Amino acid sequence: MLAVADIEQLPVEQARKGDSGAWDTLFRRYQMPLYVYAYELLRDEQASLDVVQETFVAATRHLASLRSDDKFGSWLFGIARQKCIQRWRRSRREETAMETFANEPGEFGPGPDEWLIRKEQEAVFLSLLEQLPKPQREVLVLFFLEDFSIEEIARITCAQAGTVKSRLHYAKSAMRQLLENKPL
Amino acid sequence: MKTPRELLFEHHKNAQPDLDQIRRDVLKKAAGEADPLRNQFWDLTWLLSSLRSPVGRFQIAGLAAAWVLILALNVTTDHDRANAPTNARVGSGRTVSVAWREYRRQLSEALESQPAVAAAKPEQRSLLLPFNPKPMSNV
Repeated sequence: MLAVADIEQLPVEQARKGDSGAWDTLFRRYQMPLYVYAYELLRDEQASLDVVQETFVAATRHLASLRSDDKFGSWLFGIARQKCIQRWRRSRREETAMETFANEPGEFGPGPDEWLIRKEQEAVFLSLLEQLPKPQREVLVLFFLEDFSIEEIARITCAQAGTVKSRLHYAKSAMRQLLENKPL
Repeated sequence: MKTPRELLFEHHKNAQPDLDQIRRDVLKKAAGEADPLRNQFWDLTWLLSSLRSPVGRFQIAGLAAAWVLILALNVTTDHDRANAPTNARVGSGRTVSVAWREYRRQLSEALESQPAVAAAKPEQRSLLLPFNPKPMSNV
């Protein structure tokens, strides 16, 4: 499965050399996905904006620590996740929803672009996403936003690949089931 | 029909202007951090332009006054700090003299009690009986 970022030519090399145009391109590309991801974790608009800002600042300072340019996207999401965790710890509202799941291998169906949502289903979809437990919501959002591979999601979320597979499987199943059964 | 990505982006489209502003701010800040010489240049330019305008002169005069005040406070604090060890030395000198007096008192007490101790000790026989040799004619 190819991640969205894999098929794009991102100017990471130029950014390493301090090209501000390259940074602008990278930030434009990731600002909204990072915001959506942070929002799905924090459920707070201002905090999510702060996380995006902190992530960008950290990225400009620590790009040298990124070994492989093609991992830029997952690296950036990893930073954003760390920022979200710092916020949870600061506000002492860390939810116990970060429980681990059994490492059951999941079935893999279509990619995120094949999940087409009809106009009348949009509100239901967003509401269902909100209802999912946080670990499942997190992996599903990463899958929907960037089509990251299991290994990349595992790296971002600091979880085992099996755990990510399991979470994604349950999240997709729950979403599908809810979309099918929910009266529109 | 929309993909979940499109739907999520549309749902959060209100955040777009804020995100653009954040991007611009971070890029500006990163550019400033990357070029400290340029910052110094801008600082110098700011200083010169401030000197030209009357308001700027007041601002610089105010800043200078604040620095002088800080310097004066710093000097006063240093002076107090310099005095502090002297007081400590006086204090410690007093302590030493009191201790010395006490030591002398104990020593004199010990010396006064020394004859009694000496009397108690058995004296040498040679000291008790003075040497008095007899004349040879008496032998």
